[in-house]
Amino acid sequence: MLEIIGLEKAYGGLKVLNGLNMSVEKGSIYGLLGRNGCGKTTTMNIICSIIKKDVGTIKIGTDNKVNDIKIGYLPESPSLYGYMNPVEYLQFIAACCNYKGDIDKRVNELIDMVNLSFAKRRRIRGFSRGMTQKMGIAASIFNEPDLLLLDEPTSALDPQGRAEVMSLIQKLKDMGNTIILSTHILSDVERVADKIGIMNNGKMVLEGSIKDIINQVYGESDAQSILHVRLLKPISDEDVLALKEEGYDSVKLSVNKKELSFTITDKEADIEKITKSLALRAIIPQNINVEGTSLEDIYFKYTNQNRKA
Amino acid sequence: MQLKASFKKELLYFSRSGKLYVILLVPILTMILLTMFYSYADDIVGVTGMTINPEKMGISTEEFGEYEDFDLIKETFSQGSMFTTLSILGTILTIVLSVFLLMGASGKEQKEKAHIIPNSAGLKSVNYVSAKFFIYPIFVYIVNFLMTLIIGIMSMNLFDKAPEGAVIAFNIDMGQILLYAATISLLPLFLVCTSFCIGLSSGKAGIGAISTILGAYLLNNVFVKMGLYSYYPMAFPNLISSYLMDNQSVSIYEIVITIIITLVLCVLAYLISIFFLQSREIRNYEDIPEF
Repeated sequence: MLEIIGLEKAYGGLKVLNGLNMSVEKGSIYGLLGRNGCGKTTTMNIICSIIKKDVGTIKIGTDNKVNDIKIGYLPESPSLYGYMNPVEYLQFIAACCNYKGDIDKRVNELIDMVNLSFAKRRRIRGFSRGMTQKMGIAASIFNEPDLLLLDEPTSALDPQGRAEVMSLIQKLKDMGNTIILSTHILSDVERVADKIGIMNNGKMVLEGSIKDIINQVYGESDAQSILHVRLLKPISDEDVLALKEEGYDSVKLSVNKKELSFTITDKEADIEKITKSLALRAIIPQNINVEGTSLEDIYFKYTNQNRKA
Repeated sequence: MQLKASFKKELLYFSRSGKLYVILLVPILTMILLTMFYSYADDIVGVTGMTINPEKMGISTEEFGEYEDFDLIKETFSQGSMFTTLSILGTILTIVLSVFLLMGASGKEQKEKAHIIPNSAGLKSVNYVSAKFFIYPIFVYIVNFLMTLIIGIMSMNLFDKAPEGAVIAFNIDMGQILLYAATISLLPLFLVCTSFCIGLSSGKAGIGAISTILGAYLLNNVFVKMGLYSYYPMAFPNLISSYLMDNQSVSIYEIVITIIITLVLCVLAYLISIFFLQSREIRNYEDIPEF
């Protein structure tokens, strides 16, 4: 559906995109990840021709279409015409895209879809951020675009608004839309994306499905994680020895003897086994956390960010 | 379909933002009050009477007549001069109000990036610009025309009697008022077109508004210093006032040519705006069937 090869863009002397490559398959959701300023919005603006690319090729197409590829775009902070109500705004968008179908039917359908029926006669100016975002989504999908670009649609939304927008994106996915979702909220991407791309310094540093990426980073056969178990009381050397005899050769003990680290390969099964072994010895864990194979870990690793920072 | 929707959008913005009513009512009401104030000023503070009628100042006409400027003073405050002075004042008020209040329609949209969704939906620049150029400048022209007409009609009725001892230099009739209103209103029309052109082309409405007002003021001064009193839009107030006072010094052809030049400049502003916006239209991608 979309292929980008060697895309470059500089603002003055500052190179924002530095040979970006990416590909998006038809009917999939592509999660575009990266820290602020890595070039996500610039990439989106170039795809929908708001700003000019410097170098590179962008190919857009579907199997049955050569011309008139429709692209819908929702900017990060969509600025809508506040003096209009949702019905008027969508009617205006219908005219912009020369919509051939029944405009009133489509307007009502979209307003229902984004759950704004209760506010269809209210001016957009008085809308909350979440309502504006949903209104923006309705406008950007009005003409059933072949490719939909959503630039951080959930940023600055409260949990309720975020959940609503994400369920809307899920709905669009179920309807077979091709979507590029730019965000730095990893859980959003994990929830809906078929494929992700992690950008750093204007380049794509990792691309693939979440599973593929984890395998790519940690190896396919034995993707390893580190399980950290913080204990309420210090553990005895005998108990550590017993755990090693049980097969946990890799177990390491911290200096204060209050934290154990295990290298695990099967997250769910190993955690269950270890917690059982500890319970048998009346060792009470205070906190358990897994490090090493989550998208979050990979994200921090590949965007050169310190997780604790 | 797009053009119709763009017109509707601009009309909704204009009316719901309240700017339509401000631009319509403020100049007209202000100038009605100001005209009435001047008319009754003689009764209130004696200003008009003092100036028109030197005897009220305790100076005899003969004594005052010794001054060379006496005739000029008398003329300045005649019925026609009251009308032209008030109309120019009202026109300046209309220009300043319109240019600054319409910043929201002349580039602020681009600044706030409100055009991104409509543009990616397929809105064409020509339709976007046309609606703006047809609604706002023409509306401002009509408001200024009405305001001048009202000032003219009021001047005809309120400044119809010369105070004792004063000589009215020239009176005005309905034909002159209509001619004056129709021509002087081309100045706000032109300046609103200019500020829209700069604002839409640059995406900076504030720069458009300020450079239009300052540019008009400076250019007018430059042209006057060069001895040029016609053939440019800013010349209208003096040109048409001079024609009404003494149609020997200014020919109707000068006025007609100035009107044509002004209208051509307005059309140019419209075309430049379309050209600039269209030249910014980008297509970064190639349509290729599924690869």
